Amino acid sequence: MKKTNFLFAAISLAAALGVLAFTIPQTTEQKIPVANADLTPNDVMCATGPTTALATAKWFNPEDYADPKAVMIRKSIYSYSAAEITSLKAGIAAMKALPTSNPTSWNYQAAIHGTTLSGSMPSWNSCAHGTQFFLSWHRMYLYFFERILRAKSGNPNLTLPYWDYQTNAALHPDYRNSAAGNALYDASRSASINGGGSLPASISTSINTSLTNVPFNTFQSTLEGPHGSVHVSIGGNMGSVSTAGKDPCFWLHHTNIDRLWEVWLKKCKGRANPTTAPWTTQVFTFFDENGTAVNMTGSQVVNTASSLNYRYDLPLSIACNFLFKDWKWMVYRPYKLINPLLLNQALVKTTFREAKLSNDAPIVKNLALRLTSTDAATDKVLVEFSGLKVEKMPEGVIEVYLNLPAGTKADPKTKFFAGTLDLFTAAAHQNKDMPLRMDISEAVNALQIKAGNLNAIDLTFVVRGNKTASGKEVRTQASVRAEALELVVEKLQ
Amino acid sequence: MLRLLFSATLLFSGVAACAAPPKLLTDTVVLATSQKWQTFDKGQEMRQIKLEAGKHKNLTANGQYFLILDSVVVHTLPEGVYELYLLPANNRVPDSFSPDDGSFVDLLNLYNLSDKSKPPTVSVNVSRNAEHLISRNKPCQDLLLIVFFRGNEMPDQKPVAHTGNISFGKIRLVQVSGE
Repeated sequence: MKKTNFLFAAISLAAALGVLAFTIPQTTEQKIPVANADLTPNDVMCATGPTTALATAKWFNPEDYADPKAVMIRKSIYSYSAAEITSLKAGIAAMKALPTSNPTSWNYQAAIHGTTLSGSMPSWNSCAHGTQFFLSWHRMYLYFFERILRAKSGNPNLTLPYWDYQTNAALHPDYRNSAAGNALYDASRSASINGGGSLPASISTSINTSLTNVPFNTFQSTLEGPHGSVHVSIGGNMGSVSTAGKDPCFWLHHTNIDRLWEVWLKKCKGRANPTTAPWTTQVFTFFDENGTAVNMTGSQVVNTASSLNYRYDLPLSIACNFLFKDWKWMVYRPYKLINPLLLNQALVKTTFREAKLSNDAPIVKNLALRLTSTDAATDKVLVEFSGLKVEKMPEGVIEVYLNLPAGTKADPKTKFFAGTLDLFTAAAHQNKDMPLRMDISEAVNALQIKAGNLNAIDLTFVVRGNKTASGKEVRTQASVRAEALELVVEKLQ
Repeated sequence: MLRLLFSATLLFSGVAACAAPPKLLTDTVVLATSQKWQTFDKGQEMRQIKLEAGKHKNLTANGQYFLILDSVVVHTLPEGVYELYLLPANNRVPDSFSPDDGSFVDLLNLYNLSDKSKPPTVSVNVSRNAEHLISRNKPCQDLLLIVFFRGNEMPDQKPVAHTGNISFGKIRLVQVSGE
């Protein structure tokens, strides 16, 4: 046996016996074999992860769980209606009412992730942190939890919401309402989070960095870091692996992590899921809404829409392997507002009628824009905010409307709604020379604004506070300054 | 050349669980090490930890770089995050830090430490920072690791004070280079 092999055999035996101390003897010449240079030490430490498969469980077959409805959409918690929130509460309350021995109960489901309860039931304490299965295991876990929650809620359309803390770093008010009987509340969280405070902005920075990483294992391990920081910053049950699943906001958080996996894939440029064992073949066992044990593997969760009947409300995009061939986009910058825009009131209006015209203006006037397409390759109309300074974040969002008629209520459900300003990103990059771009194509298309009329676009900015459990909007203020606004048209050639 | 190498014991202590046969050989070289047992207690805003360079005084462009924090013990979880910054020890320590700075490494992930079945070790990929240091052509002699507490922000934007308490053993900057 070679020296290195002998060393590993010795380490293996020691690890198996649980006798390894975490001291670091300083050795001389020693080569350490690793399976993949892209792996971090954490990846290598738990390369096979937990094994929780039940021999008696049935095997997951997408056809058994197919839904006749269209693919369901997982949305931001901040876009949930009051009725959907009520369904969430009802589902959780029903699960909490069940005894721990029931696999569809709240406690049993939480214990699958981790538990301090004595005794051991199938699949308990099986979460996969610090392993190559971190993302895939949690996707499976969410999938079956969602099925249970939907069944218990009585709402056949209910999906798991996500908390995009990069857009709004404060926990949704309904999860912070301490009113008796609120199934979404967890008193163990840190006072700042339950008091409406925000997660630190560096979490967003760290997530953005992870999204730049390729290949999968590097992305995954670097995403796990800020993921853990969200847990710790929320605190209480969320701060520990063995109790995190008991907090309802755990599911908001991990649904967002699952969404970020999709965001990463949509960035293309070599991003791809693993295609080799054991990532694709490792079996884990969960329980469906009937309490039936189901075995599942990583290869069964890579396509959420076709296998798991859900997708996220991400913008449509072209598949990474789509060949553009001779396609290219021409970028025009026809109109620029050079007067600073100060968003420090509940409602602020501005208009491109007062914009400075560039040489692109007469060209854009005659363009025929194609803003919808079944192949997702379309023209784009964007507003670019430069010189952004976020002096005060609202406890909520800033909504943007196009051509909102005077006297018309600003309502995100109307065709005038263009989106919300991504203040979190804006704040993170405000000291850099990086403009914030907002795609308003959908609203331009909905309002049937022709290219020749883009210079007449009015923008209305509305500061919208978060809502309390009673549905009352929180009074809040913002102070955001943009040195200039520019209209950008990207025309597919 | 005699290399001070990191033992397999720490970095890959769970390798017993690895099913895939190793394909690449990797040297793991300790580039710099902290000297003392460190504690970061409540009330403190940041902790400066000097990493003294070993024989390998210059970072090269080969391989990946990791900070390995050994024997991390969380006595009290913070109400926020710990940001890590890495800069040459002879640099002036800034009055404030921002994750937009080039010296920003990442966040210290304490969550997995709550799983007592895992070793109390945290590894952080600092390859990006190593590249940054190289690109600025600064000889990597001793380094300074800053552990900076960033509290959650209250609705009035005031950050929460540091009430956490963690301690860790030696901290090492290592280079992992495939062959």
